Amino acid sequence: MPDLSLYKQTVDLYLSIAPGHSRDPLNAIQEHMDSMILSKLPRINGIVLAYDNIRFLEKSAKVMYDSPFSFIWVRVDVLVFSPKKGDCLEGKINLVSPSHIGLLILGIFNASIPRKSIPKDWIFIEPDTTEEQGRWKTNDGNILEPGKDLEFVVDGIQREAGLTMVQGTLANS
Amino acid sequence: MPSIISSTNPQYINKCVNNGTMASSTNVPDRTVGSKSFASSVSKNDGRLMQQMLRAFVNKALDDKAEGNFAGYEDLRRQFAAKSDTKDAPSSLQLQNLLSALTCNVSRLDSSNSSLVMSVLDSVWVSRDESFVRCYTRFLGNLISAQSNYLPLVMTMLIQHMLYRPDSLAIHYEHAHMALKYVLELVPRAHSFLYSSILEEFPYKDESLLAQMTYISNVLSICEYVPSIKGPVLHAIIDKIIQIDVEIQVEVDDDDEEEDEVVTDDDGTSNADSEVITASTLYERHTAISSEMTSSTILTPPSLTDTRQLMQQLDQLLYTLFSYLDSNLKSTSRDRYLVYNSLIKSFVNTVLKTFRCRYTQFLIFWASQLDPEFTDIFLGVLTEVCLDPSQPYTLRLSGAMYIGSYVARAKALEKNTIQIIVNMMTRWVEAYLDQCENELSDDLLSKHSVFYAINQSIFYIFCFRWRELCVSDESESMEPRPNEWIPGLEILHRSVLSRLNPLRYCSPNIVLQFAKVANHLNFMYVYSIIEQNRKGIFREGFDTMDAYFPFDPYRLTKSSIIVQPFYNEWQQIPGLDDDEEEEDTDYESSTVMLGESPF
Repeated sequence: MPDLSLYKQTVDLYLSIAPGHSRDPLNAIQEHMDSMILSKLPRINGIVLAYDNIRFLEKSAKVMYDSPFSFIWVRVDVLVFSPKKGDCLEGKINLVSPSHIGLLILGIFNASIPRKSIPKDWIFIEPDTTEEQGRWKTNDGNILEPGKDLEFVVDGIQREAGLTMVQGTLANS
Repeated sequence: MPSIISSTNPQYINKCVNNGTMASSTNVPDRTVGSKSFASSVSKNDGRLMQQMLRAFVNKALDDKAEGNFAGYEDLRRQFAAKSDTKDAPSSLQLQNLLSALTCNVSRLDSSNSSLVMSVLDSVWVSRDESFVRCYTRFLGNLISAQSNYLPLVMTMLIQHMLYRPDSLAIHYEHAHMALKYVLELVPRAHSFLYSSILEEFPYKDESLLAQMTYISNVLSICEYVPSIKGPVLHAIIDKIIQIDVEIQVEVDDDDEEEDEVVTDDDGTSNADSEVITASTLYERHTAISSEMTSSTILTPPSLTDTRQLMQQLDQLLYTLFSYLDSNLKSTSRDRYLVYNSLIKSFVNTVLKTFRCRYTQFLIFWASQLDPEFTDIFLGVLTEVCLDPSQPYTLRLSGAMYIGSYVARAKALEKNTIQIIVNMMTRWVEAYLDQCENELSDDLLSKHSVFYAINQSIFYIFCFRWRELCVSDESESMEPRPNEWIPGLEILHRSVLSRLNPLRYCSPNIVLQFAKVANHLNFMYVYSIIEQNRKGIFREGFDTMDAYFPFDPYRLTKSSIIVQPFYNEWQQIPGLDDDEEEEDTDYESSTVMLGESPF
C-alpha cells in the first residue's frame, strides 16, 4: 500500500500586516498563506499544499520603530507534502526512456527513476520509430508506458531552484 | 582522439562498441538487438545500428569523463558549441542523432556534466527542420523530467526564443511554442518559472515596434495554452504600454502641434472577430508594419521622428491588445470574466494611479461597454473608489474624473444607468453639504477637493447628457413645456449657492460651459455667481481644480477604429448656437468655435 507522504502540522509564524489591511487582519494573513501554497515554509520540511484554522496568538499586533507594518504571531494548521527516503509512493508515468522513468505524484510533483535504480532484469523495448517513446517490460511481464501507475520507493529528494523532485528506486521490487 | 562522427576508421568504430559493451554489461541496446534482429527491416537496422553506436559513444564519453579523461566528452560538447555557419560545423542530421543518443542518457547529465547541457541549450535549433525540432523538444522534456536543476535554464532559453531576431520566421516561434508546451506538460511545476521568465525578457520600451509586437504577440500566444497566466500577463503588458503612453504625453506637452500630424495608417484592417490571433498572423502584420515604418522614417523630419514613432508604437500595441481582448471577451469565450476582472484589476492598480496617461484607459472604456454586466462592474469600482472616505484623496479625485468622463462619453450607457449614477453623486453632495457646509476654513480647495471634483464631474455630465437627465418622455427636446429634471439634480441649486462655492473652484472652462448649457435649458441661472467669483479671484488668487478628463477624444488612428463605435462625441445643443452672439454681447462669455467640442 503506497504512502501519501502527506502530513498535517501546526506551525507558529511571525507575520507582518500592511497598514492597508489593518481593518481586516485575517484577510492579510490569508493572502500571505495563499502565496505560500506550493512553497516551502521556513522550518517546515515539505511543500505546503493547504492551510486551515488560522488563529492569532496575541490580542493585538505590534507597530515597532519606524516601520508602518504591524507584526503578530499566528498559528496555522498546514498540510505538507514531505516524502522521505524509504517511503513507498505511487505516481502516474508520463515519460518512458531507456535512461529513466518519469512520473507525476499527485498530478503535480515530478519523480524520476534513473536507469541504475531500475532492476537489471527489466527490459527496455525500443520504439518502432524515433517519434515514439518505447516501453519498459518488468520481470513479471508488465508493460510500463505513459498513463500507467507505478509504485516505487523514495531514494532521495532533489530540491533546487525552488523546485522539489523525487528520486525513486525500484531496486527491491 | 578524433570524433566518432568524422572518423572513417572501421576498426575504431568496432573498438568503441566493444569498449561500451565491456564498460557496462547491462547495456540495453545489446539485448534489444538480440530480441529484435529478425523482425527489423534493413533500413531500420541501419538506423538502429547508428543509434546503438552513438549511445555507446555517449556512454563511453561520460564514463571516461568520470574517470578523468575529458577528450571524448569535450569532443561531444564541441559538436553542439560549433557555430552553425562555419565550414566544419556538424550537419543537422549528425546533431540530431547525437541528441537522440543524449536523450537516452539524460539521467547521467547531472551538474558535473552541465557544460555539455549548456552547449546544447545554447545551440541553434528553432531554425532547423521539423524532425530536428521534434528531437530537440524530446531532449528538453527528458532532460528536465530527470534533472530538475536545469528547469530555470530551459525556461529562460525557451522564452528568449520568443524575442525578435532579424532573421526570425514565424515557423521559428511555432517551434519554440511547441517545445514550451511539451515542457509544461511534463513538469507542471514549471509554471512557477514561466511568468517570471516572461517578465525578465520583456523588451525595453525604447526598443523597436517590431521587437515589442513580436514579443507581446508571442506572450499572448502562450496565454492560450497556459490560461492561468492570462491575468498577470495582461497586467504586465498594460504596464509596458502605459510607460509609452506617459512618455508621449511628456513630449506632446512640449510640442502641441505634434498631435495634429499623426500619419494615417493605410494598413487594411480586417475585422478582428474573423481572425484567430496567433503568433504567425500577428508576425505577418508586423512585417508589413516594419516596411511602413521604414518608409515613414525616411520621409519624416528628424525632430518629429521620435514622438511620431512612439505614437505609432502605442497605436499598434493598443490595437494588438484590443484585438486580443476582443476574442477573449466574446460572450462565447469561457475566460471572459477572468480576463475582464484582470483588466479591472490592472485599471485600479495601474491606470487609475497614473497621472495623465492618455490612451491606455480606453482599453477599459471599450471593454466595459461590451456587456451591461461589465458596465455595472466598472461603474461599481469607480463609485467605490470615489465615494469611499477611507481611500486616499488622490485616488478619489482620479475616480471622480473617471466617472465624469466615462458617464459623459460612453455611448453604450443607458438612460437609466446615467440617472442612477448622477443621483448617487448628487446624494453624496447633499450629504457632504449637510456635514461640512458650515465649517469655517481658509483653504477650501485642498480641504474639500473631492467635493469639488464630484461637482465638476456632475457639471461635465450635465453638458453631455442633459437629454438623458430629462424626465420628459417626449422625443422632441424643445417642447413649450419646461424640462423636468431628475430629482437628484435639484441639489445643484443648493451646491452652487453654498459656502463651498464649487463654481469658484472648479475648472473655469467647465464652469462656463455648464453655465451656458444650464441657462439655455432653463435649468438654472448661475452667471451672477460667476461674476461675483470673478471679482473674488482678483483678491484671493487663481487656484482651481485640474480639468483632466481621461476619455477626451481618441487620436490614435489605427486603434480608434475599435474605440470609435463606443464613443459619445460632443453634440451641438439645439438652439444654443443661434443665441451665442446675443449672449456674447450681454455677458462677455468665452466664444466657442462652431462645430468643435467646447472641452
